Amino acid sequence: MTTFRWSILAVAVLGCSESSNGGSLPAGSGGSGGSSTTSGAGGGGSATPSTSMPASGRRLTRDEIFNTLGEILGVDITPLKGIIKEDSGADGGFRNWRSALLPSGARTDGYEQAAIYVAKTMTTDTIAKFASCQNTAAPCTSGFVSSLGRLLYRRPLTDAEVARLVTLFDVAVGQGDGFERGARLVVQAMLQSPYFLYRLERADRNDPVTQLARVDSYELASRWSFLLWQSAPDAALLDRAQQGTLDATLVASMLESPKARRAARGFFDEWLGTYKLETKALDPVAYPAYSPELTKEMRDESLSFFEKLVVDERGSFLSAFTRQSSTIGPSLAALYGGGAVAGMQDWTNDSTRGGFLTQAGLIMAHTKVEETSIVDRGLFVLRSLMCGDVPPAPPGAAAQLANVDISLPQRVRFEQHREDRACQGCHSVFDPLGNPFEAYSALGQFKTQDKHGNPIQVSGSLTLDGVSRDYQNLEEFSALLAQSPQTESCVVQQLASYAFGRAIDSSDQPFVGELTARFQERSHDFLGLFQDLAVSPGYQFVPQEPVAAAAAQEAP
Amino acid sequence: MSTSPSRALQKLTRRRFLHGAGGAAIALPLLHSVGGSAQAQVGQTPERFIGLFVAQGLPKVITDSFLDYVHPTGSHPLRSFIPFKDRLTMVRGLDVQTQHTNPKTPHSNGCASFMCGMDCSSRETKGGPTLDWIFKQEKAPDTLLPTVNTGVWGADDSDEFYRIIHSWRGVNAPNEPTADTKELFRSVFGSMPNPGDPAGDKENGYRKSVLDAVIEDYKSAMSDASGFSPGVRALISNHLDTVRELEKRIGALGTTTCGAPAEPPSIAGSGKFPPVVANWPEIWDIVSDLYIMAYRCDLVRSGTFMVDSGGDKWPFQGKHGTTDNVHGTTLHNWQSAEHAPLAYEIFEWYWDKAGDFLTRLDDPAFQDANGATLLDNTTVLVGTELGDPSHNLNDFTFMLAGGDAAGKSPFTRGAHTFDGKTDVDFYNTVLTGLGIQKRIGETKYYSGDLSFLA
Repeated sequence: MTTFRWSILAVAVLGCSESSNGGSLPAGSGGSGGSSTTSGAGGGGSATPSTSMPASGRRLTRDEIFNTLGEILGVDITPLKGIIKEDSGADGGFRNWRSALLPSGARTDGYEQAAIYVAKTMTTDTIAKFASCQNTAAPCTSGFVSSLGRLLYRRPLTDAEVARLVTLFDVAVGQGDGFERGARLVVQAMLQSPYFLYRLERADRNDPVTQLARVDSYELASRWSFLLWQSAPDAALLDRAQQGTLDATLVASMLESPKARRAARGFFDEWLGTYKLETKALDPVAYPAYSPELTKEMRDESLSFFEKLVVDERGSFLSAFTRQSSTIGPSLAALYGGGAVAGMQDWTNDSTRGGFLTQAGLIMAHTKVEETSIVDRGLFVLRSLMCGDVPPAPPGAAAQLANVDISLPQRVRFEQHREDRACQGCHSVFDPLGNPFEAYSALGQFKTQDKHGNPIQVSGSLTLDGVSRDYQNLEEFSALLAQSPQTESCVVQQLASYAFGRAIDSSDQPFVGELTARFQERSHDFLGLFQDLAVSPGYQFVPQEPVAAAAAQEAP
Repeated sequence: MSTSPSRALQKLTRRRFLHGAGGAAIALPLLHSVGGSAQAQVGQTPERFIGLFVAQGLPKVITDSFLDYVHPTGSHPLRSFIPFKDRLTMVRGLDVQTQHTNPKTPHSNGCASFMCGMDCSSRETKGGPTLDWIFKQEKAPDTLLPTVNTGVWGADDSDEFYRIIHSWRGVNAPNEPTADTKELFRSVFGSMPNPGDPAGDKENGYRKSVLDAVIEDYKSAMSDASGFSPGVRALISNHLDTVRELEKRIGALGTTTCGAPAEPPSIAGSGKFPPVVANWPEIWDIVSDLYIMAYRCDLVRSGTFMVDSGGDKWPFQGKHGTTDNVHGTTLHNWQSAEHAPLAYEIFEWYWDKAGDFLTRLDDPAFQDANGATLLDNTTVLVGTELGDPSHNLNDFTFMLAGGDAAGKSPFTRGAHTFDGKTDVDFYNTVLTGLGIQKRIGETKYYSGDLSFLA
């Protein structure tokens, strides 16, 4: 049995008088958040810090902002979808990667408009929740700022910060307004602050042993909260941070929260790419079955499928490849045909469905504008299920399918394309991975002929872990993936990348290996993987983000 | 042929912005009247620069005969540039040598190099500032809006930021374009004054006070005492720049006499994948007019505009057939007998859009302080991401239009062909012509200014 050295480590917090943004906290300001540390309690051995740490200084994603605002301020976030820009996709990775969360003027404008909207629409009851009294004298105003600020900045505010924000009450009074207006201005300011918009972590609290910077308890609470809940810490979690009682037990209990369901769905939405369905539309003439309601049902089929498996049942994640049931809506039932009806479906006797790869949402998310898409679907399998990649197409190599009879099956056309040596290197890698999806249209409908009347052939062979195995259809293809150590390790790598907000590189492989071993020990319990990531040594350390990778450069 | 300027203006005023909340008609200023107020406001004629990106490449066979190439099927890709023939510099035969440590396709290389010429280590950022931003820093540092970037595109491959974002302040500092018509309106005119509205003035005063407090938070986060990593502080610094720009705009309320039109509707289709192509003509009208209004009002003096993003995929229906994918199905096969008729029609579509943009800039109804059109006082750099749609990064053609108002252009008009020269040579020659000493791009790709300077 693999000894997993993090699983039983308690994460204790040393009391400290230093606040998370560097200022000394005054007595009574509530902040005792200090450096977190792992102890060797429980016999797990001392925690040797991994070099695998999360990216630091990430901007909150749009979903993280929406969830946080909904929970803390109770506002309807629906209108904000038209105000704050969607996050852009990172380069082959997740939209929560630090590198994908760059600031820009357009986003700053959106944040200001969103802050104005929230400040205007939050109820007086919400304001009252954070105000022990409502006059413009100092105790009331500073109390409001401290109370709300602790939640929005995810740590106690320094005296200087409180004083700065209290001046907004003075501004309101100067204009003939009172406490309530001042409180709304404070909210407006806090929501535009870097301490709300970014997950800022000090990189100068060096551990005397490792010489690595260590997060404090508030920063660790934020890391856990955004990973496990997809939102900011609540008051109770911040209390635990203040008390210095963040530990592995707490992580386990956080996974019991309904917010953990949302976080799990959030990961699968990103990993499968089903978030793209929100804006994806097909030509209704070419695809009469298409409707926005259908794509909503598609997305929900996939996300509910995983939610049930990994949250409700805590079942083996790898069974998702072959699981023979899912819940579908009426539009999707009509699309699937074969007697399918809305509700829970058993696909055991349906050779066209079974396992998440056969679900229409995933298939549509990885189809561009053509009827099918060998390349895009193959690249999804390669990158997201096998963690592989291909080099770029060489210059001049893209006379794609030129001089090829377009009435031939797409599979055959790509076979001919691969005869071009310039194309062969890449297409021979991902085309075979896209072929088994050829029996599914852009909308994910099963078909036996393409639009030219050619019979569709989806059988083939798949090389995994150095061994080639034959498959007859997508279901069998999925089953092969489920049995592969390469897939198992890749799934771990994908979640690690999501949790770390960055790409996983070769230096992370030892960490991925250990995590994979733990995943096996846990019988592929996916929430357990979340838990292991949260308490991993690297999750308590802050990388030194180099300026060269982030700063604007002057022209030479 | 594309919409004529007068027709576009009529459409803009008659239909585009007439639908306010509840469908009530809202009276709007004509672009003409906006132009008049801008003219009155601007004492000296400003210098301006626009980077116009046109996706999918421009084959050498089309530009070998300057603007006159006509495909046997009748498609004439550069026909809409003919009215500007005497105010146009075409530079042909350039190569892009920009390198990536992890490139995806030549579309990526070409997009990353456009107006920048720096090597890249990531697909999420260009390797340095773009030409429009250097122009802004050197020639127009104090405009109310630092930059405006928009256009019509489909946002395929949107995970490669530089395919979509053509204006960069530097590494990791994008000037993101705005696709949504309503959002664009707000970014251009959202902070415009509302004379005689004390409530509006009060709200804007509050906004400024709030931003004053916010800026202090940014300053503290950027300070040494914050303890944050240098890279994180640099990111915060980039963000702070944009907050200061917002504060500046609010602080300048009431200083311009240029009136804003009513807010246009939000129209689905641009900047999304797959795009709603049917809506593109309407989106095009609105974004191009709003964009030009920002220049007429002298709110901004440099930025970028895009006709689609590099390698975008969307369906097209033309005289010579239909395609489900302009990029993969048709333009990749632009040389094949089967696909060429439609491919050249698609080229014509793309470059008609670019020509239409120049036409709108050249609207004689607007006169700058020197009596010239906006185009005459604007240098428009027109470029693309490929030499041709077969993914070639050689034999690029760039064009420079406008900027003649001073009596003569800094660039010799007509076509110029260079062998063994790069896009970086071209960009730096443009900077020299504009009187800017700063250099752009990787030094290793710069062999010296090209001989198209007047």
